[in-house]
Amino acid sequence: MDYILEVENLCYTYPDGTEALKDINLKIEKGEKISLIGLNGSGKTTLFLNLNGVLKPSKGKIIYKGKEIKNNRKDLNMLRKNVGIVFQNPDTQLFCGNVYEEVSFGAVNLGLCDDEIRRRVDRALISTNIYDYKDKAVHYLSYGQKKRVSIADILVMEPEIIIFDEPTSSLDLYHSKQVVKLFDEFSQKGTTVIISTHDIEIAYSWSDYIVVMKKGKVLAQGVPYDIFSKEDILRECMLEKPLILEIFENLKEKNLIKSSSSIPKNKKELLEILK
Amino acid sequence: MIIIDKIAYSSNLKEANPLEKFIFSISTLVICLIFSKIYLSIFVIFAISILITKRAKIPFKIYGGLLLIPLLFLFLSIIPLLISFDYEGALMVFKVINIKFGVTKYSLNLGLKTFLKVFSCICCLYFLTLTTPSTQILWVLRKMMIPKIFIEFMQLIYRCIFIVLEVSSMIIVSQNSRLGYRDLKRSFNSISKLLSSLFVMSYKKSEDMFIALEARCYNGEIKFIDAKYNYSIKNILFILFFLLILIFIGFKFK
Repeated sequence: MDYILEVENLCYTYPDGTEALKDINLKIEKGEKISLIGLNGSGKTTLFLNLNGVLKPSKGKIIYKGKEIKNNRKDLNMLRKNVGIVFQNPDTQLFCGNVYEEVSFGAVNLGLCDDEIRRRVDRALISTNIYDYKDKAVHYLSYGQKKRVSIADILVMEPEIIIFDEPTSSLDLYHSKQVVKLFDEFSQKGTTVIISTHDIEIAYSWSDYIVVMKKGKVLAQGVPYDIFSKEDILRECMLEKPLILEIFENLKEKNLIKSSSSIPKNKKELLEILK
Repeated sequence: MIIIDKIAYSSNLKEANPLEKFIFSISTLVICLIFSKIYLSIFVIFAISILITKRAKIPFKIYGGLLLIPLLFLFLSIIPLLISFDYEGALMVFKVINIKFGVTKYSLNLGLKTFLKVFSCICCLYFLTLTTPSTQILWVLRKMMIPKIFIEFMQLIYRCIFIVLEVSSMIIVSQNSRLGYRDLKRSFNSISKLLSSLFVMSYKKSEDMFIALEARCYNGEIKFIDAKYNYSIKNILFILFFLLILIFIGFKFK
């Protein structure tokens, strides 16, 4: 099997001695949709920064497309170019006065020619639906608009993997759905999308693969049904079972539906079974 | 400052080429300074004010209010110019204790000339600031080959001012909601806490921002692509015509 990104025995210790990541092993396939779940402070953001090359692992290695990333400028820039991070708070990411300039920053850093940059910026602005605000000042945008600018920021670099750090936190339901729809569009184009989330329903219905973290360790990983059907994992990580799955299992137990029916991933599929 | 920033983003001329606006206001300013003529200054004050209110569609109330601020300082600084110890042949003489002061024809003329000159320059600068958002001014500075380091600073400061203001207003609200400013003693206490936490937060934010920049292949230089602005022949012709009129007035009248 060809993996786009592999993490082997990764450990990370902060300069102050906090062990943030302990022996992480991950294998990520191209085009997969991955959710990272875990309580606050379980090391999700630190892992992301390691994957992107901003933090350097204390131990272990990161392998991108079969090639180990060494601690030199060339390799790190290659990793940063191909693994984009959208930070949780758009305000820490946005630094330019104006949306167009902000979005172009990443593309210019790649050293592309002017025409290509403009083409990419326009494309990123259109696909995140903020083209109308391109001449606006960043600080007069609403939170949802800033979030979309921060997504366009990364999109413009056309990375193979996009990481979203808690993309739906502080967004209303409508905008969360819009953002999730965007993720689907990215993954249809072949981009690998990794998100961290506290929203169990999104993690269950959206992702192909789930990684559960606790206190800097990967506690479990697998397809959504395998993770959420195991009571002990759920208990240990203080997670709850997704509503859809719980209803489905209850119905099956009481023999109200055929036991052969496939496991529903979302509301639509559950209703289909109940017909 | 924020009010001016907001006005600039809503002005009718915000889409015009920043370089045109910059050249127009700065060359008008320079002409006023070089000629230093009363009639020229009066003409510029009226012409620019009309342009600001009619062409850029900035409400006269806001523009007038903004003008009052520098005018107050201008009046105060003109007074010493009007008064001189030379009271012989003065138009007006007054005595304070035993020292006589006078207002001569010469000093009156000088005061009036200076007043109008400064007033016209203020109008020119207001034209620039009220029609050109800060990002466009930075664009002009980049086009003028100002050293990059200054522009990067200006740009980061411009963005960070808004972050600091936002964070501080949030802290103030949270302090207020817990009676942080109920009396003088509490207020001083709260302000000191506000300042120290602002400092710490700014430091933290700058670190976060650096991480976010690094994640996007930042390597010591902030580079991005500029928005494109089209030149308008109509505007350029107008600017040339306007400047010619100014020079004509400058040579022809007192």
